[in-house]
Amino acid sequence: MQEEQVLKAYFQEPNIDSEFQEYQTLFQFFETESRLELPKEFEESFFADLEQAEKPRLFIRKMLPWVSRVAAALLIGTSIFWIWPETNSKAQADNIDWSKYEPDTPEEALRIYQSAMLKLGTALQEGTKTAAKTVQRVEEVSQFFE
Amino acid sequence: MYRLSLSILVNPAEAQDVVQEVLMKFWNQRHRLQEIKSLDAWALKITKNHCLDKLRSKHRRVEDIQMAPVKADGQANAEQLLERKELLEQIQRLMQRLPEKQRMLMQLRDIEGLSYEEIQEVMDLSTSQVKTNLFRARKKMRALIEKTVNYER
Repeated sequence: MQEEQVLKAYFQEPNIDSEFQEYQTLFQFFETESRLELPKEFEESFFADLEQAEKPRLFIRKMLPWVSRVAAALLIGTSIFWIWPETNSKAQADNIDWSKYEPDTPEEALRIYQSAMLKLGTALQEGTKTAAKTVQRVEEVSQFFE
Repeated sequence: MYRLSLSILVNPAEAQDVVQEVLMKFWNQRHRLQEIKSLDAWALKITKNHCLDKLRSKHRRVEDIQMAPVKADGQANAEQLLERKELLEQIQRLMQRLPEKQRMLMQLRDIEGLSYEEIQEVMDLSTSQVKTNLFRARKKMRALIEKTVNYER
């Protein structure tokens, strides 16, 4: 504002009216304060701190391509580790001649079946009693068919 | 930024810390600085907010406050320089007696010479609020000076 400029200019004059002299210090204070600057050491310390803060970032930026490569290699390795055994066992299973494991007689079939049921009973933790009952029942059924 | 933080915090070391924090913030946001319309006003606003946060932090104690030394320059003899330095320090003390908002407004307008629009942006105030508070601050400062002068007489 123009009024402010006039006042500022007036109070900068060396000889001002004695009536207003007490306010001159205030304008001198404004003038002094407007020239106040950061100490010279500040810049040095600021740039040192900035450099220190940037160091880890620069390191990370430098290492990023290598970290990506290692991560990619790990991913591929893990995928192979998980997929390979499955493919391998499937290929092995495909090559087995299952016909030679087929039972030739009803007795053999019954024996295999009993054994499977026993294993199943144990696996299901139903106890030996339950397994025996199942076997007994199977025997009864097989006798009925004979 | 330094002058504004010094006027709010009074302590030069704390004011320097704030400037450093704000500059660090600028550095970290340097890619977004172009989006800012008035960088000066934004910088002062961030500085002001940082200072107020610091001022209101529980850790700050009144006894920690150390007044910034006032430098009396100009061509004068030692006695005159000392007298002027004392007067300036007296004004500085009187300024500290102003409410925070009024002190900041005087700092921004009378010391930094910011326009009313810029002050509005920094302080989040309307033009009329800026003008009213500035008027009150100057009036209060005038009364404080008169009171001091009359007391000394």
